[in-house]
Amino acid sequence: MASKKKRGPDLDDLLDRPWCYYCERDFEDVRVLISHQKAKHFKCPKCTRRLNTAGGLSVHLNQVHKDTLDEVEGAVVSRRDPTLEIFAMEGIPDDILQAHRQRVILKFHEEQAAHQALTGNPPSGGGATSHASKKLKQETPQEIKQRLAERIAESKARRAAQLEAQKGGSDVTASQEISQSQEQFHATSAAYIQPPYPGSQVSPPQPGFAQPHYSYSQPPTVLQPFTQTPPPQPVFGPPGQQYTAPGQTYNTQPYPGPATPFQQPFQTGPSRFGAGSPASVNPYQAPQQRQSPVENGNTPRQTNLTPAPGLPPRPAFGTPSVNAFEMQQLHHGHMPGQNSVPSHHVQQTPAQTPNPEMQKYLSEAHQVPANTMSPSGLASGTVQHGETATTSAVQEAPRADKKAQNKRTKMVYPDDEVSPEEKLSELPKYAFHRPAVETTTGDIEAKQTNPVDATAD
Amino acid sequence: MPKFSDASNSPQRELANPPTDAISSIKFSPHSDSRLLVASWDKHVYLYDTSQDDENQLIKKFEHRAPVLDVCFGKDDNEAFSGGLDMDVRKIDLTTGEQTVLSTHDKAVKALVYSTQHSMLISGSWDSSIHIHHPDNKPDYPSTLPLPSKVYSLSLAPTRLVISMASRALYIYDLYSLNTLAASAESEPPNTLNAEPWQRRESALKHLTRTTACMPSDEGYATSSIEGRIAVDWFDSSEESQARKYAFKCHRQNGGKDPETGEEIDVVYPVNALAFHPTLGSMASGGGDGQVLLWDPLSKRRTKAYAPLPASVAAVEFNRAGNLLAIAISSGFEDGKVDMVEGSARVFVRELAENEAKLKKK
Repeated sequence: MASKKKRGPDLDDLLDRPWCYYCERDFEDVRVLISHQKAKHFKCPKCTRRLNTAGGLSVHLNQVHKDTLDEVEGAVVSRRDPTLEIFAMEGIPDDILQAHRQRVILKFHEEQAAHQALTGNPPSGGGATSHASKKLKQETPQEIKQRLAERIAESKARRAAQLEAQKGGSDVTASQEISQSQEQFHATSAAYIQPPYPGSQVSPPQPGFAQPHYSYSQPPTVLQPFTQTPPPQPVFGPPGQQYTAPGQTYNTQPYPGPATPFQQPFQTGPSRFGAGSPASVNPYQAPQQRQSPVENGNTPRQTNLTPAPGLPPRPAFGTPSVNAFEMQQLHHGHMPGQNSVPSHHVQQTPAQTPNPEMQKYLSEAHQVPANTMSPSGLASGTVQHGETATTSAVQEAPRADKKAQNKRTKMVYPDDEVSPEEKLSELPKYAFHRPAVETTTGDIEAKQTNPVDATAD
Repeated sequence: MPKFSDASNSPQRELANPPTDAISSIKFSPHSDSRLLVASWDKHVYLYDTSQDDENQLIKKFEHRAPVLDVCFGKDDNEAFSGGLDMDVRKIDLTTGEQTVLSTHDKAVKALVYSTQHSMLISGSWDSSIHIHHPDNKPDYPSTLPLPSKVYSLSLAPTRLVISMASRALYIYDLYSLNTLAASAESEPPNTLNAEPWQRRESALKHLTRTTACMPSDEGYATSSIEGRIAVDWFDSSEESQARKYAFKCHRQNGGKDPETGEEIDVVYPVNALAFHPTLGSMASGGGDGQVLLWDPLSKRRTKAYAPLPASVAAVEFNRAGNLLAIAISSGFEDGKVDMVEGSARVFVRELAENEAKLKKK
């Protein structure tokens, strides 16, 4: 195995970096931060002294220059309060510390997402995914062909069973008898929530795709028995179209995570895939195959997935399953040319999944962790909302600070309507009452007053 | 050597025989370098020659019927105008002391400016109007220009008149057209003009306007408010020019303790006085905190902070040559205190060193 390539600092490193409260810059170590603060924020504007804290600078200004420190220089607007005693990382208010932490986390994930989108590489630490794909890769064409044959056979059997069941009038039970592990297609939605876990991949749903692989939101390692009662969900499509399929009932979900972003596609599924497609076929479900390579090998399948390149055209009754190569391609964002699936979900193949650690941080940040997994409109819509919420929370903090600062000001003359002179003029000692008889153009002489000689005073 | 000097290394003299009550206005003569008029609430206008020694500084004082709110020089060093709570606009012959009433407002006269260029006197009053006089005309029929609000401050630039009013209103008139209009309209009173301002603006500051001062360069003006803030605006209404305008906080004291709650508070003082240096373009501000600060309005920097004075700064004024800065202080002025502290009204004249008021180097 090739050695793991180090791709930039990891989140812990970033979070450990000391940073400057006044300008949000981060530094290699605390000593650099201290010298930065002395040079940028605690430098006396009038001489060359550099002080250690804003308070020190204030005292210095007061004593040496007879001046006051109005605000900390070079600081972002909301953090100019010179009364805060901050030295390196000491004294930073808790809310601001938290806000900074969140910002670092956010930025880290954004960068990772950008990097993954660019390279199509899976995130570091996504061990499960890479193992699975490697195993799949080892599948030889012979194996694929064999699996295909099995599928075909099974499909035939299923069809026969269906016919039989219809004749017998008990469709569901009949088909269940025939297939080893069947699920009712119309059971959808909440039951099929696809948790965001590493390596969740998107594969193209096809018209006529009759093989869903559901994962149930169940605790890991609990096998899902097929006898489970169908979830109380609306039935998509007419009852006559009920599909049953030998799906795998596994539920290997290492990371049952927030699922909301994924529910939407399920509900809108039926109309998208046409009559031949089961109501609940969903692009997010196909990848389940990858989670259980063993079962993939053992269980006969019937699927109408995209034909593998180089294989003969599929017969009318069934199609070959997605082979390893194609899977691989899908995983790396290269859609097979013949893949004519119209769904926009398919184009999100380079699925990027945050690793568990990231998820942990993300949930700490109260953020929907889906953005890195699927840029789908629906999912990312939710994510963006989460992001804005977080950022605005970050911005809110300084704003609140500012408000608090405003509260602490006291205006010496708070009257916004009347000037001080007007108030003064109303004092009795200044009161002037113009004689009623006097007129503007009256006798000037009468209004003359004698000059008072300064020396005579 | 420190960049900032304090009171000790720049000669700052205090005028002898200051007014006995709060000072409302000080004006240097535009015709000579050392003559200074001071208007006071003690109902007198004082004329000083600041170049003289103590006994001879006060040349004359002129008694009025009511507190005087503003004063200004006229066409020469012998002519002055005053206005105050008695609502009259007066002409004072500084040699003989003879006073002549030019017009009477409906309320107290708050501000006076005289344009030597146009021989025009403009008086602003709390009756929400200005009167425009041509004192040299015989007879002179002042014209009245109604305004939307009480006039608080008048300020002249070479070609503009800036009127700042209550309710943050601010009108800018073109001095030439205003003069022409007033001159042509002169007739028997009442003589009401209907002149549209050249620009109708609102104060850039959120709070009550305290005073305005125009740049001698005719580029713009500064406004100050009761809430420790100064705004610098530009006459040019083009977008790029307007983008240059700014406002800043000043005359505040941080970290004081609220006497009631014990909470830490910032005390915000009104900025009572603004003046531009006649040649260098720097600006002086005086606040209720007793501080006089010098600013570079172009680089938006404070260039100097003088040692705090013991009372609120009521007025600051540069002389014609720009080598003197007069500072008037009086206590209890802005906070509506009834009792004037005896002897708190003082006038300082500061001789500016050559580079003291100059702008920051670019």
